[in-house]
Amino acid sequence: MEAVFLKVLNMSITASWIVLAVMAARLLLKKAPKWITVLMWGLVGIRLVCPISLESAFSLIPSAEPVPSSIIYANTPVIHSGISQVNDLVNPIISESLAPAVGAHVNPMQTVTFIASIIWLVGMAGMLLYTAVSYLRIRRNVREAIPSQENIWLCDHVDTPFILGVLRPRIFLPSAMGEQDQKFVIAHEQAHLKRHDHFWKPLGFVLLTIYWFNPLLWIAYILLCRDIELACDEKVIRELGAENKASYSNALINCSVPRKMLAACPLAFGEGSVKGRVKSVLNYKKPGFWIILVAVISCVAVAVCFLPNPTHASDPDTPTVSQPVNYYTLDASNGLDVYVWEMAEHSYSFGVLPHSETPRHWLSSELMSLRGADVNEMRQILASYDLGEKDIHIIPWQNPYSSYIAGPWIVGEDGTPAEAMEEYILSVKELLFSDDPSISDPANSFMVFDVDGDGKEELCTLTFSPPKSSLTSGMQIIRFCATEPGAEQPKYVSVYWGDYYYLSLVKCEDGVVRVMAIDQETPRRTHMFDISITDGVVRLTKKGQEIGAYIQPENHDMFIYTPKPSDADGEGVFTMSAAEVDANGVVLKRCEITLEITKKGGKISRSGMEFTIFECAVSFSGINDPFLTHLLTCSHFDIDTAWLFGGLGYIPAKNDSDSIVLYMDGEQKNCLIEINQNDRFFVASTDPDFDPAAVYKSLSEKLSDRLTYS
Amino acid sequence: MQDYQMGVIESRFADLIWENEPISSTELSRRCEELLSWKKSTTYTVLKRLCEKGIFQNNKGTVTSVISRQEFYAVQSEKFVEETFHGSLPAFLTAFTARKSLTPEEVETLRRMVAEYEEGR
Repeated sequence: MEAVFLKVLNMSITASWIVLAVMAARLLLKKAPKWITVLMWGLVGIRLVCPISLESAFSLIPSAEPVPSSIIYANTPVIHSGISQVNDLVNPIISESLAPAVGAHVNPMQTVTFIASIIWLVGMAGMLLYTAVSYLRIRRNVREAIPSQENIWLCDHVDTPFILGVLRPRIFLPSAMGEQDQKFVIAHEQAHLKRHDHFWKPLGFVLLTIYWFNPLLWIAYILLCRDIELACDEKVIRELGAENKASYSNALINCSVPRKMLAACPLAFGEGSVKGRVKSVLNYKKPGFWIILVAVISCVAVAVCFLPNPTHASDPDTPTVSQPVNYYTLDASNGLDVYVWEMAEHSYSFGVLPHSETPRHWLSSELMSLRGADVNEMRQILASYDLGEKDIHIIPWQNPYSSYIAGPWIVGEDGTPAEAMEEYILSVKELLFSDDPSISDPANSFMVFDVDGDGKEELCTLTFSPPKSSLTSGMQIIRFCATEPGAEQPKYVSVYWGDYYYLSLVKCEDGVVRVMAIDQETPRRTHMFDISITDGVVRLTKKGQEIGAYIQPENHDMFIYTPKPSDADGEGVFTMSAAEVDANGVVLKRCEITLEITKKGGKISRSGMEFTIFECAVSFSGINDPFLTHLLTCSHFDIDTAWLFGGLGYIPAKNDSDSIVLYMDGEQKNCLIEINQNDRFFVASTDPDFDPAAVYKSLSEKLSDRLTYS
Repeated sequence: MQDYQMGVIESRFADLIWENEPISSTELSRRCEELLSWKKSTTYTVLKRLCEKGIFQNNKGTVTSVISRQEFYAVQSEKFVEETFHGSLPAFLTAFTARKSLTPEEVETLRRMVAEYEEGR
C-alpha cells in the first residue's frame, strides 16, 4: 500500500509541474478560445491518470520519481526532486532523522510512509462520502421533476439550471424560469452536452478525490470548471450570433447563484463568477487564425514538454542499475572518484566512477550498484590508469550504513569532503597509494619462511576478508599466498571459504609455522592449523580437517552449498521462467532468472551437514526493481545466505542483513528464491509453462520439513 | 404553514387535488403518473409534505383539502403585497397598472368590490 501511495505522490508532484505550465499558458492566452485551455487541462488529466509515461529529451519535468520507491528500504533515505536546492534542503534532514539504526528491523521512513498512506486513504474516503451525500441530496430533489421536452426537465426548489447524469444526462431547469431565459439556458446546457462536459467534469472531480492532498490540483480543478463554463458560453454565442449577447447575459444574471457549488455532479448554469462570464460574453469576438495557431502551438508545447518524463543519463560509463561497471574501462580524463565503504572494522570495499564535479548527482541506486573491490584490487585498478594522486578523489560512502563512517553525506556538493573526513580519507589514501605492503590491509599477516621445504624462503601472506556485502561475521575468504622473492607471480595461492576469524601466521615453540585462527563460537576459541603441501597446493589443516572449503582462487564472488548426498553435477546454465509470488503462492509478476553454475568447489561441514560449494551467478530480467537489482548486481552474497541444494534443506541466515536464499530441487528443474527471510519469493523453473503456485507449494512444503536448525 | 411558497410543479399537483377532491390517494398517484410522470413514491412524498404544511389531509387513503385554493392564494397575495408594497394596496395597483392598464371589465369589477366593501362597513 505504501508503494501505491508513493506512486500517487510522485504522480501528483510531476502533475504539479504541468499545472503550473498550464496556468502560465492560460495567462498568456487570454484572448484565445477557451476550448484550448480546457484541452490543456485535459493534458493534466492524462498525467494524473497514466501511471506510465514515455521518456523524452524535451521533457521539462525535473524528476520522474522525486520520492524513490526504494526510499523505504534505503539505509540513507533521500529524495531526487530534480532541483538541487530542494534536495539539499530536504535530504540532510531526512537522511539523519529517518535513517534506520544499524541492526534495526523497522525503517523509520517506512513508518512515516505508512502513516501518510493511511491519512491519504482517510482523506479520499472523506471526499467520496461528501460526493455521495451531495449527490443523493440532488437526486432526492429531482425525483419531483417533470419532463418538459426530450431530455429537459423542470424542477421545483432549485436555484439554477444544471445537468445530472453521465451516461443519460438530463437538463434540469428551475420551474419558475421565464421562457426567454429558458431558451438561452437550454442552448448553454446543450452546448455542455455536445462538449461532453458532463463526463469531463466528474472525471476531474474523481481525480481530485484521489489527489486531494495537492493544493495545486484544487486550483487546477477550480480553473477547469471556470474554463469549461466560459468555453460553453463561447460556443453558445458562436451558434446563436452576436445579436443575442445581451439577452444571453441577462439570462446569466437572472440565474446567478450566490453560493458556489463545488459538488461534482451537476454542471450548474449560474455557477462561477457571473460578472466574469458576462464580461467575456459581451466582449466575445470570433478568434482570428493567428490566435488559434498560437494557442494550438502552446498546447502542443505543453504536451511535449510536460507529458513525458526526463530521460536518464545514458553515458555508457555511467553505471545503470542493471549493469555493473567495468572499473578498467572508465573515462578518467577528468580524474576518478573512488568511493570507499567500510563493511567491518578495517575491511574496506571500493568502487570507482569517472570524476564528477558534483559527485552527488549520481543516483543512490547507481551508486548502490557499484561492485565492491577490495584494497588490492583497487590498487591494481588505480595503477592501470595513468593518473596522479591529485586526480583521484576519495569519497567515503555509506553503502550500506556503516558506523565507521560518520554521517550520510560526507562530501559537499562540489566534492570537497567534510573536515571530519580528512583523517579518514588520508588513511584510505595510504592504503591505496603507499608502497609498503604491510599496511595495505590490516586484516593480514605475513611472514617470511620456507613453506615447501625447498630450502628457499618465501614471503607468505595470509589474508582474510568478509565477503564483500556482509555486515557482520560469517563466512570469510581466507587466502594464503606464498611468493618467492623477486618472482612476479606467487608460487602458491590457496583460497578457503571458512568461518574462522583473525588469522595470523605464528611460529610455534617447536619452530613450525602454523596458522592461528579464532572461531566464532561463544566464547571464542583459538585453533592452530598446520600448513602442508599436497599435490602442489598449500593446505591448512587441523587433525586432518581443513580450515574451510578449498576453492578456486579467482572469481570467488558467490558461493552455494549443497548438502550431501547430492547427485547434482553442478555445472551448466539454467535459464528459467520465473514469477514473483506472495506468501500464498499467488503470482504477482513474471520475470526470467538465469542461474549459471560455473565452478564446483570443495566440501564443507556445517551444522552437522556436509555441503559442496558451487560458484554461480544469478541474474533477473523483466524486473525493474532497484532494490532487488542492487542485491543481485552487487554480485556478493553472504555465504550464510546463499544456498543451493541438490536435495533440499534449509539453514536460515544468521544475520539481519539483506539476504537471498535459493533452494533448488534435486533435478535442478525448479528453484525457490527467498529474499530477506519471507519478504519476497520468486519461483523459477526450467519448464517455461510451469505453474508458479504449484512449484511454490511443493518446494516450500519440502523446506518446512527440514527446518530443524538449532 | 399557510404561507408556504409552492413551486410551479407543486402548484400543479395542488391544483390536481383542489380540482378533484375528494380523491383517493391511489387515483391521485395514477393521475400524477399520467400528468407529471411521477412515481408513486414521489406522489406520496409530496403529498405528505403538503399535509404536514397543513394544506391537505389524507384520511385513510382519501385526500381532501384543509384550506381551499382561494384561501391559500389569498394568503399568498397578502404576503406578497405586505413584503413588496409594505401592505399598501394602492401602491400595488399603481405598480400593476403601470405596465398594463386595466380593462373596462376589470375597472367595473373593482368599482363593485369597493362599493361592497363600503356597504359592509
